[in-house]
Amino acid sequence: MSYGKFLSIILCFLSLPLVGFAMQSGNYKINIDALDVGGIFSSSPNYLNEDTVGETGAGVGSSTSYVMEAGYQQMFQTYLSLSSQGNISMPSIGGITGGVSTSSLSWTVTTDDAAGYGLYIQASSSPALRASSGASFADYTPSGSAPDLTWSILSSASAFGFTPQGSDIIARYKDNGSVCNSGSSDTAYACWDGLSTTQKLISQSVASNQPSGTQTSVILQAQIGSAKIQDSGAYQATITVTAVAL
Amino acid sequence: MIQTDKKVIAIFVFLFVFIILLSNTQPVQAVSDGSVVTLHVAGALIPPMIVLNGQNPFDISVGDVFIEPGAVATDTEGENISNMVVITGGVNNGPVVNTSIAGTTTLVYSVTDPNNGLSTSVTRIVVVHPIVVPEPGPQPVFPAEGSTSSGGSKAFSSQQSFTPISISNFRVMVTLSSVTMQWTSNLAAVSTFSWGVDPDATAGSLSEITPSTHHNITLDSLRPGITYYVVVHMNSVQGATNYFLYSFVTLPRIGHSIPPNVISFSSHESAAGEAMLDWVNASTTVDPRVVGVRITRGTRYFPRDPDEGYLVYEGASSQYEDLSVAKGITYYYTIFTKNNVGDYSSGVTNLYVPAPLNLVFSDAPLFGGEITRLSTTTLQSVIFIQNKKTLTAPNGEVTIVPDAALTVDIPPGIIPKYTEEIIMEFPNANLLFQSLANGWEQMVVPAGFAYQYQTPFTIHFLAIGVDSRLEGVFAVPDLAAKVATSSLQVPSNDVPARQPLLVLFYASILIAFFLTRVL
Repeated sequence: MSYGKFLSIILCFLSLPLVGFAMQSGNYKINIDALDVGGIFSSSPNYLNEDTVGETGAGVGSSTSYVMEAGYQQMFQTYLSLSSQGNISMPSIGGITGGVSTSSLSWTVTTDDAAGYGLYIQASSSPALRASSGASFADYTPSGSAPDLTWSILSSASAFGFTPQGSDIIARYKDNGSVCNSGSSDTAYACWDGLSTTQKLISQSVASNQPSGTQTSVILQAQIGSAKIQDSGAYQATITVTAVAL
Repeated sequence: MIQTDKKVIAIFVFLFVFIILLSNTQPVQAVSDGSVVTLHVAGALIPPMIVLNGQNPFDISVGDVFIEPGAVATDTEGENISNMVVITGGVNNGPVVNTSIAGTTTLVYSVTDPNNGLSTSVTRIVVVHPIVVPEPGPQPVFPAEGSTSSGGSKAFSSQQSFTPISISNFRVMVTLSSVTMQWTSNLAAVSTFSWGVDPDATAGSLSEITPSTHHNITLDSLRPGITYYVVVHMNSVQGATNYFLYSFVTLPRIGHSIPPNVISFSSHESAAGEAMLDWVNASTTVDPRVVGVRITRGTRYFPRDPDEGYLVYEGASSQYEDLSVAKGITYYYTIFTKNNVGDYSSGVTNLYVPAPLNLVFSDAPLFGGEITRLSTTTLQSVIFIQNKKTLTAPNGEVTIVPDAALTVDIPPGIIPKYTEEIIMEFPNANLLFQSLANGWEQMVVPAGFAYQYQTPFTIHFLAIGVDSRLEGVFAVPDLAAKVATSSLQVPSNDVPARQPLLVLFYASILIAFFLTRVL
């Protein structure tokens, strides 16, 4: 066998494990399986346990440059969960007299990833809050590059925006009492920003937070200015958050 | 063969790297289901409606039982919400009316539309008729016993003479700002009607002129939601008197809301050169209670409420020509929409700037003139130069020497707007200033004043139709003082008289030095 063919075969074998899963069907795939003699899944109110018995060569090995985690139990991928948040209805506003409507959504991210997670928010449309008639609320636009400490729109305008709250919100949404993207305070109902169809990072951590997880609330606010006549009807925004293990 | 192997290696290396990259482009992530946020925006916020059953005002006599007739309430969508009506104002702020005493009770029927949160209140006036207590009137004058020769001496029995005045059919109709009271007396009588906001009822009074058994008195210009007290004295032609007390509450202002603003508001110059205001009224389908607009204006800022500034127009039109604008003044207009209960919208503003004078008017005499006397401070800004020295003009007086040309420079900063000509007027001459790049300038020869001791002057800043004046005086020293004056006004760049002596001094030193070296 020539040198080239030998190397080609070696590369083929090296490539196969990187595809990553053992078996799959049309609906499921098994990422990890093992050939051993037994195992059981057990639980208590506070803990879950999955054990296996009889696997050979399992365990952690290391050198000065590498750490090898061999075996079925070593092969678990990062765990990340995102709680569910249903639909909400905001308090109604008068289209003629104007007014402010405020509500909130909350999500809890739980991960065992030692590097933490990032939580992104995005709207499905632009502007986010729209009626079937085509009428809409403009996405809130901060006066500068940082979010506005206080919500403010023209009396002749209407707008829809948000501010995140929680222990993991990023610096952009923290304030020093005067401006946002500065300081370490998470003042309630401060640092307003607009939604967009591209993801905006709102929360981030650099450590695992299991098992309790961390909740991030998103305060939503819509306002119709006193001099603005907003078409009547039902306006809807579809908001999606994405949690990513870092 | 070797080259073939290299190709194979290259392909596998590529695949290897590609797979690595592919395997690493799928981060661990969780995506939420899209949360649908719904916000209902109401159209014209129309409060619910209440229709009272039964009479209003509701008349009842003292001692009768008041059975509350009820009301029908409907929300914006026509749904019956009568069961949500709350009645207050009666005994213990409930719906029960105390009929044991005379007076007026205002029951307030309120309901809130659960759909839009708006409330409506309607009042029912329950009038418990007073019991008229007769008071002894003046003793009738009886003829002397037996003086009546006919008709019998008992024609005026005491029983007949003291027939008291009693009333019936008492009715009260109360509105936001008025009250009408009607009653019938058993005897023809003149009623004096006094009222006030306290039981003394001393705010005013009215008297009937002709005795009558039917009485009808109306008071207007009352304030809404205020308790008024009334005292009515009646004097019959027979001399009997009576009185009764009464109190009522004018209807409160209810159903307030902020009407929508006009859709647009603009201004332009009319064919007559005045300010033509145009607007598009708010749609009455949006708010059926809109009845018109009110326009006010200011000359320094936009009026912030309908009572601020100069009232320009009030009505239901969509255009108005403001004939009272002046050229050169900027006007700040605000238009407010008004509804049928006197509420105003937040207002829409428009700035009207009349076209500049020199662009519109070419014939000044057609428009008359305006004289503005500029201040002494302005005069002090005019630069007078003589013998290359700037002279000051304290108190509007400039001291000049008579035999040197005088330059008058006017900097642009003090020249009134739209000035087209500047003329310096003396008693016997008018000098036209020359416009330069940096202000205006004129050369004056004081000799032309014939050595008058004082010469008044006026600088005219002429615009079309406007003559702004700046007045001052040239004070020319008399001949006797001429020398002294001249000595004080030696130009700074003239050669001083002592300078030749210094030259000679330095020259002598040089010569001396030279001579010592030579000798």
